[in-house]
Amino acid sequence: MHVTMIFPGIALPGFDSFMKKPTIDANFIDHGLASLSAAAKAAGHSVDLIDLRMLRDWTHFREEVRRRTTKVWALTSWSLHYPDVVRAIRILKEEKEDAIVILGGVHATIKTSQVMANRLIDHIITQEGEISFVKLLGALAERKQPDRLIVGEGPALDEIPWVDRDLFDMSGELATPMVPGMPTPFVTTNAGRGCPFKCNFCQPAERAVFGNRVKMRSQENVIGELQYLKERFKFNSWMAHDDLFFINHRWSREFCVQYKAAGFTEPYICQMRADLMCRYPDVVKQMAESGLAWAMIGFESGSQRILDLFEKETTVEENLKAAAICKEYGIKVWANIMFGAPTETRAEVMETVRMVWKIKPDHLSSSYFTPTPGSGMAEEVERKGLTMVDPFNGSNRTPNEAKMKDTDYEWLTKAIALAYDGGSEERLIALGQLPMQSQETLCASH
Amino acid sequence: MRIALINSPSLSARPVSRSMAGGLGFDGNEDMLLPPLDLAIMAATLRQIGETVDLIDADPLGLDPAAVYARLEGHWWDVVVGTVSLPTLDQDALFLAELRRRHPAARIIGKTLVRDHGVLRALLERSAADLVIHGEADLTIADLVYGRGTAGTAWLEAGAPGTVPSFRFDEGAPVEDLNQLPFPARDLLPNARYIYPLLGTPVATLQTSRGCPYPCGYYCPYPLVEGVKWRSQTPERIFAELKDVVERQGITKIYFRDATFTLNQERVARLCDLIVAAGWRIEWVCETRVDCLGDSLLEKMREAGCVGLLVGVETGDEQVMHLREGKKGLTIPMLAHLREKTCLLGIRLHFLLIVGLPQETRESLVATYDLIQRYKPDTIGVTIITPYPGTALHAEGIREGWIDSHQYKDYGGHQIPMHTPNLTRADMEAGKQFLEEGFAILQKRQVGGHSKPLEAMAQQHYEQLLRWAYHLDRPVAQLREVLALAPTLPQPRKQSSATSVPLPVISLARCSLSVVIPTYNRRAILRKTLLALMSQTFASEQFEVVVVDDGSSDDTVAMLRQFKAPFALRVLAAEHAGANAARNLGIRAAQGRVVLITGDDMIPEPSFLEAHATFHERHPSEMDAMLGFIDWSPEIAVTPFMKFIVSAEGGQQFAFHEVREGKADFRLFYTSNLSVKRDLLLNQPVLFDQDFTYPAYDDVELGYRLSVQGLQLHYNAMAVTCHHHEITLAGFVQRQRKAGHMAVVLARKHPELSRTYLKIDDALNSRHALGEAQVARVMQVAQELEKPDLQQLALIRSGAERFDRTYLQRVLHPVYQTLLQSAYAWGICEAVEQGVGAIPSVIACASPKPRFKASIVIPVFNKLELTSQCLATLASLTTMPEYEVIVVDNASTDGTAEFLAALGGDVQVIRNPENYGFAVACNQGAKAARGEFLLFLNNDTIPTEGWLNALVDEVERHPDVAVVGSKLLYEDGTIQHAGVAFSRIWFSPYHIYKGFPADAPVVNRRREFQCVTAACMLARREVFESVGGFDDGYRNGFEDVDLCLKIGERGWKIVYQPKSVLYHLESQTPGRKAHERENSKRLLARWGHKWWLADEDMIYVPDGYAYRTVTKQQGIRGRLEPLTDPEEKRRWKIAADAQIAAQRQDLSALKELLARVEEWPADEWVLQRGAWVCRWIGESNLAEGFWRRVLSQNESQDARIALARFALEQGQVEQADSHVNILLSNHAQQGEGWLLRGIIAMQRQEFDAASLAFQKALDYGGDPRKARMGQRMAAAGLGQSEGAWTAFSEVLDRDPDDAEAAHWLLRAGTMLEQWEKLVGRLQRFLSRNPGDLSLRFALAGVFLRLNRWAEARHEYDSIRLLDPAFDGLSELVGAIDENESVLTHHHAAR
Repeated sequence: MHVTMIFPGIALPGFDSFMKKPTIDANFIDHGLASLSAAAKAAGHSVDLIDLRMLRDWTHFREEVRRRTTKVWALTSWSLHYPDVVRAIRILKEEKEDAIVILGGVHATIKTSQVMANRLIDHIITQEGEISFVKLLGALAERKQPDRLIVGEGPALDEIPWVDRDLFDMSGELATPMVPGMPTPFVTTNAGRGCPFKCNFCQPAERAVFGNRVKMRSQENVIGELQYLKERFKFNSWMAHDDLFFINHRWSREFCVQYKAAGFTEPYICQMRADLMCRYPDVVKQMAESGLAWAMIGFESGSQRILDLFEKETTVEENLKAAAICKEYGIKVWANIMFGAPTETRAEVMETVRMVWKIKPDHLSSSYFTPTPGSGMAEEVERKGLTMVDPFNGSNRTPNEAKMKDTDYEWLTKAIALAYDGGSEERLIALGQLPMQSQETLCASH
Repeated sequence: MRIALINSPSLSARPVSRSMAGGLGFDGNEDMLLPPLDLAIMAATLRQIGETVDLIDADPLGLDPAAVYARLEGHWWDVVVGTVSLPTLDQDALFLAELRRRHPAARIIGKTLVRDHGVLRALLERSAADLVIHGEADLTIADLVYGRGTAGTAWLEAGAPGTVPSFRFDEGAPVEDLNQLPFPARDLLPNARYIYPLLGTPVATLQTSRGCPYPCGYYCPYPLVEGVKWRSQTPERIFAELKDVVERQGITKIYFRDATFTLNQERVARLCDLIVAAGWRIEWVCETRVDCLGDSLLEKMREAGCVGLLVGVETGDEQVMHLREGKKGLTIPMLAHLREKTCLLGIRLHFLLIVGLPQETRESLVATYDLIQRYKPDTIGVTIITPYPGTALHAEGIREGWIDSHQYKDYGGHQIPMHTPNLTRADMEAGKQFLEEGFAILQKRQVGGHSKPLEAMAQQHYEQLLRWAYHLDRPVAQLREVLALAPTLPQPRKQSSATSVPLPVISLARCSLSVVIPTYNRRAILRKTLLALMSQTFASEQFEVVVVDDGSSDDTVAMLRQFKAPFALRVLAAEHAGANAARNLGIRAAQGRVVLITGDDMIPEPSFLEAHATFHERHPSEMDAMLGFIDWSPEIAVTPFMKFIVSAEGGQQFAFHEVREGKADFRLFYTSNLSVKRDLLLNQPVLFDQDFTYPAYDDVELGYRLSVQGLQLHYNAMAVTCHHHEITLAGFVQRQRKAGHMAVVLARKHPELSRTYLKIDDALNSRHALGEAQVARVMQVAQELEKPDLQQLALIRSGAERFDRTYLQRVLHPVYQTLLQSAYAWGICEAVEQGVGAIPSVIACASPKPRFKASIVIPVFNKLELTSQCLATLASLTTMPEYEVIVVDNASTDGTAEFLAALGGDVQVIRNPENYGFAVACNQGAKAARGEFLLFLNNDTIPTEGWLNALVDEVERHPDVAVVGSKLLYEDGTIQHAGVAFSRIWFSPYHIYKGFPADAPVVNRRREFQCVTAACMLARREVFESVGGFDDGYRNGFEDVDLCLKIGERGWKIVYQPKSVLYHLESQTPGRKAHERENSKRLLARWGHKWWLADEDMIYVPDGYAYRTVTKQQGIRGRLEPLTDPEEKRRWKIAADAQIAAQRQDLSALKELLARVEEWPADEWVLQRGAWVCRWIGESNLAEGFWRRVLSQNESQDARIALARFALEQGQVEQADSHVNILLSNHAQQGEGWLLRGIIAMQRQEFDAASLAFQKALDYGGDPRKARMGQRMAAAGLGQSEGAWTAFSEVLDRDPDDAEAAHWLLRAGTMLEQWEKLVGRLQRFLSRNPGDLSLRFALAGVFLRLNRWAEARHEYDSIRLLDPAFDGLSELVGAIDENESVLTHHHAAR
């Protein structure tokens, strides 16, 4: 059976962005689709892909659809992508009345009822899809009438094939390191799924997809894939694309040993937590020695109250210490910082700016607090009626549009600019004294 | 003696870089710590004489005051010196006072560069210091600590007991020869801790020159502190110090702290050579001016290790830059070139910018912002203008009351101690912030690539800046903002009910939606719409869709029947009867409680239905309806025109910008995205009125009726539907025309709407209705404008997107606006003609505020009879747009006041207590005006029929025209004004074609001028205001010229419109010409330097006339002569073309035309002009030909002088002499001629004759400086060497770079055998002008005379390095060698 997959990732980079814009959104492969493709191919199906990022516009998409004789179409969607997915499906059905449309991915899992209401979607797979998607394809091939809503079965990670890197055009990812300056070719991989922490700007959405238990691939499995990637793409740096790569210190220690033993010295980048780094500085050291070049750390805020509000379970001191540990071991720091949390005051934002100054990150990635669908905080702010984002259109975190009511975004923009340019305390204080744009405090609801 | 030199601690309390701001101190931080060079030099001087010195630089050592005290504790100190900076004055005074307390026996000395007496006095009083050093004490410090001298210090002298101590100030003298300075005692400094952001650490500083001669001293502290005289070290001296730094201290990062490091480019080139030859790998940065940097020098500097340049750009506004107070000499192209060059060479560029120069405006800050974004400096430093005491800025600031803070703690460069005429302090702060944020974004984009959010952020930021700069309240149709305005939350309800918990699931029984879609022949798009309704987040069980087919012929019904919809789809097929009939049918058939009306080409977004349903769930009242947002479909190409019609300026479709606080009025009752309770609709006797045969105003009409009943139309941006309809200009013009028809229908039904909303009356005014042919023509224009070579234009300004926007707003939108308005008016007129409905006469509805097309401003002073005649004529004319009259009475005494008081109607009268003059009166009138355009009219005019229409028409049809002038006639019907030309001989504007018959073709053409008269002048109000109106510095003359030039300078056009005719009884007002001389002077001062304004030939020659100047007894007169001879015409055309090229500043074309001198017309004055132009554009060699031709026309003093000069320059003394002879024989009292004669005599060594000639030159007004110089030279020639020596010494003291004087001094010195004195003089000259090889050669000769062989050899080496082929070098070295060998013999013998 032939399936055409559609990767809708144009929400951030836009159409015609693949290899044309230097951002990762425009160039990275989607591991979800690639994994499903690998599973489908292993079961004897054939798969091809329409990557919207490589098309000119919707008309071009329409032409691509028209060109194919495919009957079964599979799409994945983040919440951010959902409007484009809806539009793509509509065009699909305009062109192919008998098309069978399957939607999976994060948005289908956390906003199932919303997706169910869209009658143009024929089948919806929630959670992990490697097993269920293949089963569904089998049923369709046998012209059975499968269920519309299918809850995906979670696979054992070592038992599924490595992701299908032939599905995507790899040249984009290979040429686009996560951080400019990391040596290319560059690749990404996932070592596991799930996260045991409960930061409420994310959870429980993550758990809704991957379940309560964290699953890690065996170190051998990951190293094996890396060896394959080395052979195939001659990569010179890579990224562990996990939400949190360093979760289990025993796993990480063993990984470092095996990575070195396999002769790898290639630098890599991964996501870390400040508290774990403080608790296991020796593991951080070991990772640094094995090749960890960049740590992406979710510092989030310089205010303890905000960290607690997020249930981040880290402290400001840990943030600073983690940065110091990185400096000590020569790991570059990619700081993820969030501005404009609900109830956040100007003083707290200024604390965060000061923290950034102290951390002196090698890369600062700032974002506005965004009520991401499926997260605890999103439900909270929706209940209080504070969100300004379209039900799913606004889950883009980057600071260019307003997310929350009663928040002085003009002021926040200035604060963020100050965080970037390392200005003086005096300017910060002056900033604190600017008049409000909105009448309320920064975020008025409590 | 034991002496402590302390760079006072500041870091803990208020970090300050003490050596910055020319040494006055500048706010700093830990990232910038620079060594105290002044203290280190003093330390070196003191150590040379054997004193014990401790040098404590507190900040880099991390010492706070307590730690410094602790370090001093336990030792005996004879002298303690502490530095004092302006921003930290108080803190430093306290520090000194504490030192005083702790070391009562020591002399406590403050060291500062502040010279202001008041400040110094306060410092002395507060610190109780014995002395404050304010001058350059590098070499005299020993005298000061021993108490032997007071040069460059200030102190308090106690008088009689009980009296206030008197303040004493010793001016001191700057160090003349910086080569004498010892190397700073760097070994006493914590060198490893010095850091400079552009270089890192450790960094050493060198100051190789002091002083700055540039006029930026208006605000810059360097000239204030170091003087305007530039003193510098020789390359060799610098190199020696560098060697010490690099080889002994091991520091390889150098920051040259000179104000203008490359002022003498040869000096730096030589230094670079030395550095390269030394083979060091050093990195250095320096501060300099863009106009002191040649390409080859830059390359050399890079080779020698220059990695960064700090250049003072100050502002991006070239106009501000070029003012005396700005950065004269710098131009943007120079900067662009430097940026390019530095990029290639890998030199980092740091822009020093200032916010708040006195002429700066918010707009000029936009220019600075653009400059940063465009030339992408590697780093920037933005300071706020600071009125350092002693600067001209400070004086002016005090005088004008600009300075808001006199506390020096606010003078650190980042505080805002003053405002300016154009900027408030808040503006400065905002401006600085914009620049810095903009740069931060720029850097982020450059480092992190151009991601979508970052681009959006950058754009948003730029928009913010523009909004701020141009005082725009709201951006043009920023839909995002409208979106942000939309409420989604339940407002506090009027009746509190128990249903406050929103229900996620909406039950069909309680709120069922019926979507009503009328359709006609749109099968494909309708299918898309239905598919989109299938992919809603709202459950399909909860709504129905009613499609009413209005008799389509494309099988729509068949498609609908086959459509498998998950929701209830009901299809009603009807006979074709129009959309309204279909819609009404659908509404009646609908079953839901709420009817959602939309179109067949409206493709809803997924949350569309949910948003509507949720709204009605929360607003159960029948009177609450909801309007959603309509966007363009992403699947169609949205043209600028489509954007325009939904924008706030256009607004012909979907005027969402009219939404206020979440509510829309009936005008936004759009049937594309609207939900209303069904019961309310069914209660209406008429639903959508089928009298509207075209879909325009039908929805508004129903909306109006409902709103009268109390309907509230809420707006919710969450309900988005996408209009899938490509709209063309031509199609929409037709639509507007039909809308005009429908407006008439609506006006018939609701006459109260006809004036305010529908503007029927406006439209019926014939001026609006262009008629079919004209509409078609304007449409062609618009279509042409839609496809300009935008790309090429965008190259001119970087940032294509921004340019597009400007282009759209400035050019295209006004054209669209005109076109659509005309089409609408055309439709209305057509409908009225066709009798679509009788328009009821204007309903008596109070118009809120009278708006006039034009405000006629008439300044008057006496001459009542003229005023009344003018007003009476105005009132009697019939075809006029709406206008008001404002009479400004300049204190008339002849009953004018009473007459005006008796006037009624729309006449405003402003009465002044005295005669304020024309400009003030006009400005007053303009301020009071309420009309769209301003019309300035003299009271001695008599307007004729149609005069105003013609003017208004002109500006309305030409969006680029700002000023229009009329045809003015004398009483006898001849031309008084048909435009203004600028004379090529004098810079004077005059009326062209005066006295020509009124029907001459040349005065009946619309044409552009640089200027028209204000006797009758229409001006765009916003443009008039933007240039500040008339300049009241003129008194009744040239105000109009100045205004027009100001407006023209901003790119607006000024047009003469002969269709507007008035009689002008010129200059009837008493005293009108009383100030002509002052006015001319002012005009000249303001505009005189713009020689290219002269335009008379480019006006006359194309008309077939030559403007010849003839000399008569009364003086020079101009005469217009028809150009009949084709050859003659061709010649004149060249002169005219040259004027055109000059105005366009097209230098290459201009040069080409000037080079064809032989082809120019044989007119003395034209040729003379050509010669001057050659000189102005720096092509003096081309001038000679012009002068020769002038001479061939007529004997001319100027030509003789110019030619004599040429001859002299080329060494043809005889020829020069003959010119001068002729000149002097005709004009014996020609000072300039005598000067030339003197020079010629000097060249012939006839010193007596020369002396006489120079004396005559002096007597007859020749250049006195040159004449005196000449006299001295002659004296020197005559052997009067003593006098010559003193005279030339004086000249050199005044102008130390005068090479001629130096040569003459050498001559005199040689005669007098003043060898020692000559050495000093020549060395000083050469230190400033190291490239003058002949004087260097002379110096070597003088050294030889003095038997100073080594020094002679040094000079020889220098010359050989700079020019190995220099004439006489071998003889020089021969002489040196000979003597040296003799010397060696002597040594050997001893």
